[in-house]
Amino acid sequence: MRRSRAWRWVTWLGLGAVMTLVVAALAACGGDDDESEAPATPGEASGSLRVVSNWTGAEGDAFAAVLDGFQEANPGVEIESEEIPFDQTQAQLAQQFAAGDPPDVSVALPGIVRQLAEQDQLMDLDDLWDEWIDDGSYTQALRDVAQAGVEGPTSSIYFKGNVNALIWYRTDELEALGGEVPETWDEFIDLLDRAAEEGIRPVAVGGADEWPLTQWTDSIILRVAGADAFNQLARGEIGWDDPRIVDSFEVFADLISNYFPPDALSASFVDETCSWADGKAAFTNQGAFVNLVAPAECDKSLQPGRDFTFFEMPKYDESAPDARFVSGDLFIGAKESENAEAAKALLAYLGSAEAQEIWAKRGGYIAPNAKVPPGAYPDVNDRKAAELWPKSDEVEAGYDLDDWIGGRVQSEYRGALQQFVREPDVDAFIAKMTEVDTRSSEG
Amino acid sequence: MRGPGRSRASMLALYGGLTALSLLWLVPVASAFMISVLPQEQSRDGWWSFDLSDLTFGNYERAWNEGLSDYVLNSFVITTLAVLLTVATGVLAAYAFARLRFRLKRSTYFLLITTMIVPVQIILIPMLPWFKTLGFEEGGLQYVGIVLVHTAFGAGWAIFMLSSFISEIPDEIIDAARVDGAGDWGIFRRVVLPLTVPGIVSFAIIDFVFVWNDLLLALTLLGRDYQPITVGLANLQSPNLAQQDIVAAGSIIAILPPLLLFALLNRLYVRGLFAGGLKG
Amino acid sequence: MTSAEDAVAPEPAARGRQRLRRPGRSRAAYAFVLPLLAIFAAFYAWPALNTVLSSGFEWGLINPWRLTEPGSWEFVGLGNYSETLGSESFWNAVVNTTIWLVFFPLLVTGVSLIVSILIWFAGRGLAPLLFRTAFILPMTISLAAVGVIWGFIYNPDPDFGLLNAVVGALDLDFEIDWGPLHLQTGQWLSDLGSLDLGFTELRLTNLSLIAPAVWAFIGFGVITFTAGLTSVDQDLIDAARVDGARLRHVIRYVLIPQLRGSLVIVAVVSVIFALRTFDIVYVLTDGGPGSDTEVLALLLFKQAFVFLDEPDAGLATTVAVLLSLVLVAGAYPYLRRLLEGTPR
Repeated sequence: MRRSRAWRWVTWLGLGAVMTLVVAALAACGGDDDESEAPATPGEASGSLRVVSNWTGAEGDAFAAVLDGFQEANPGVEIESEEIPFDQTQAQLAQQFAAGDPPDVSVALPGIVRQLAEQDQLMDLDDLWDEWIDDGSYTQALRDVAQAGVEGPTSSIYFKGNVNALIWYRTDELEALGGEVPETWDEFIDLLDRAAEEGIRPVAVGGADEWPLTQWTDSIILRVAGADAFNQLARGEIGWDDPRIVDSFEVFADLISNYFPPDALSASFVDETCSWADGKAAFTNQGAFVNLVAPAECDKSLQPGRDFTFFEMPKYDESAPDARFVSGDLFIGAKESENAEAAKALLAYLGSAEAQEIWAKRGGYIAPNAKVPPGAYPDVNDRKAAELWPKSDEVEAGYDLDDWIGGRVQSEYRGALQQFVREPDVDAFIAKMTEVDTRSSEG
Repeated sequence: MRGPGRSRASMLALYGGLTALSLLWLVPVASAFMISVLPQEQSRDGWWSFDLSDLTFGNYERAWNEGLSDYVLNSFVITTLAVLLTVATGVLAAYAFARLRFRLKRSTYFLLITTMIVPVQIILIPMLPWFKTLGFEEGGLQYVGIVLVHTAFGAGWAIFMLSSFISEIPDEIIDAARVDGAGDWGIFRRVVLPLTVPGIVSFAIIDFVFVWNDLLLALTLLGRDYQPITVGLANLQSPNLAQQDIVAAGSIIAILPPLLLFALLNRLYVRGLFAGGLKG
Repeated sequence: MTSAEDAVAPEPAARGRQRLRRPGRSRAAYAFVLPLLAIFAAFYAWPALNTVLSSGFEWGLINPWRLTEPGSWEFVGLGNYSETLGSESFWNAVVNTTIWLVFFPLLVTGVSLIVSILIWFAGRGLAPLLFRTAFILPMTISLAAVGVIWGFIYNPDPDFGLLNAVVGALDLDFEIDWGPLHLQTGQWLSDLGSLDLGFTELRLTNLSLIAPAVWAFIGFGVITFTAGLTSVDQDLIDAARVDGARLRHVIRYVLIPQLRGSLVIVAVVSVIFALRTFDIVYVLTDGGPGSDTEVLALLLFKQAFVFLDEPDAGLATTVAVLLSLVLVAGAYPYLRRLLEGTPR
């Protein structure tokens, strides 16, 4: 008994810890999940909010500035901001909703909005949208995107816009290739040919990350098949075997065989952007955000407008109407939020021109709210891109196809695209997608 | 010609070959390290042609400020608690398995040992709803949840290794204590526990490396603010804005703690695995 | 079997004496075992039971199936099993997992055996210790970090990825077609080539993922084989050094028999590892391009946690059950060996 009192302490402490844990676990078994339906506190926006977004680095700072604006107006609210990686948004939201601890407010894409809305997890935001449509802040087409094809209320707001199908080039590179911005598809192809003749890779492609390939397919479907077919395909109203869609993939197959680099599937998005920015490839087909990424990630001396800019991918068929390829980020509110009042106030704020102007001034961003003035954008590339944003329902536009679809079909589609880039066999690809996406045959 | 000449030549070849192979083995870590201490522009232009004056720790600073510090802290919290709990419960149970007789001993031992073989996927999917039922889904309680899962999954190794250490204790010592009138508890506390300390440390290191390096459980069970460095690394890899300099710095940071532990306690680590290897 | 093992296992005589003195069961034993068993039951046995039972239902994670209210989702019997066994993506994952299952244990066992014997020949001292450390070191690195690190090596840009830089500088790049085999350098993580077996095509890109895993796992083999070699008489080294014939003799008739037990351990543990593989694939390719490198553990993860739209958790639990069955069946002999050891 005289021996080592310390050991007795250690042992008892260890045992105590274990027992506490076990007892806590058993005690917790009793309390099931009935406490989650606590009513939202009435009154003005206050309390704490957990907000999930995707942005880091310069973009993260910009989003933080937007949130600061909300906190200044609502000092009673405390915001806890979390960043999750873009490609894991779906998995991590699934995790948090399934765990019963969803973020009060979260970034989302239409596919995710639809899945969560259909499982009755989201806040009804119809009243916000009714107001925005009335005062001309948003178009009906944008509301349709936010509604994500769900029957019932709109349950997301549109926070960050983006325009794609932009062919980015370095001004010195285009100069070397003849200096002309192509107006037609043929001129565009000529330009690619000239690059190949000059011994420079015509395009950089970051297919290892999958989504950069959809930048190509969406652009091409919108140009070859047109916005109507594009949107029907997105909504499952036509199948992948529709002749207009098949034609689009024939065009894409030609581009792949003739112009895609050998590392199209091993390079990532950053590899793609930087190899273009370093002058190893002549063009890259990407969204407006390249304006921010290229100087930040690849070459700090690059100056937007002076050193690099973009042209829109030309129309395939000159008689067809313009069809813009847009994408962007939505925000949702969790129905189970314990602070629903404040969550909704934040969502209303994120959709407002006031909030969006804060980021617009910092660049690399297109405000979906039509009331943000063009003067807010800091450089010529951002202004040019913002002008392409559809501000009325007359402009034909398609929203990012696979982000719209989401879920398993999106995942399989991206995989099939990688396969297609390796072996551009249109029939095999269409057959695969017809098998994967059965919405049109079921509907 | 046979003899010492040939022997010397072959020894030279052996040492030369082994040196080359060892160096080759270190190339991946070395290249990650180089990328982590060079500016991005420099490493994208062939990090092997670096200039000494370019070396910088700026990437580490940025990585640390971009949230890696939180991930590292989470890793330490989860790993420390999990190792402590596994060791505490494991050594108690191992004593019983090695030295005491009780009903259903063989079958419980078998069940526990299966955790060494059955993949963690067998519990992964219903775990989230289960956490929700237990109230472990929110805030810091997530730590408790994952620590308990790690403990359950470390149970097999703990029992296996620790009971083999405990059965190494000579029976005479234990018998002597028994003759002095000590009960099971007294024997455990005053004889077995002190003598098993080296074994416990060996096991703790192995368990530390194991828990620290877990990706799948953390990825699926924890919210963003509670994720450890392994998930943090996967997050940094995210294709949208993968900053390779920061990712490289992050990977080196993630490697360091288990590596340091290994460097400091190399012998005990190897000894623990030896024991595992020999027993099987 | 080995003398080292005898040192660990208590002698039969001691065993007999003990039994003589304490014939009865100890009630205190239950108190010792209880904490661990409680945690084991709550966080292993119970969820595992849920997994097995829920694989009979069609359910999704957001409103999960619970054992306490099983009727909330549709019971489909063995429907999930027949759907899984009939699905292309499952068999694709099986093929890729099989590639792991064949190459990973072979490479780990082979390379670490050679390395261990070479180091053993180098004798004692600082240099062999350093060699051993170099091979054991990667073992402490998390597989997520291993993936990240090798991602740099494999980068396709020859100004950034070391492998392509070396291949380019030494002019080693090639592309070969030998009948069903196609092999090429350059695009390590997207297309290393393929081997057409007639009934299925093996994607060699899987090998690019296996290589980092082997790199990291060699340490285990080196430790285990070194443990097995400690009892071999060091004098044999000198004898073998002098004479090539005797060297072969020593390896063939002394070392290999001595290492038989260790060989089994390394092989079995690496088979278990290969079947579970997730981290490296998740970090390096996420199963791509297409589903060229998708393994079972990744498929299950995607089914349960990524495809929000379809209630696929039932399919994921089905894959988990199948995976566990294969592992337990395959590792059963090993399990029995483990069991022979301890409880009396």
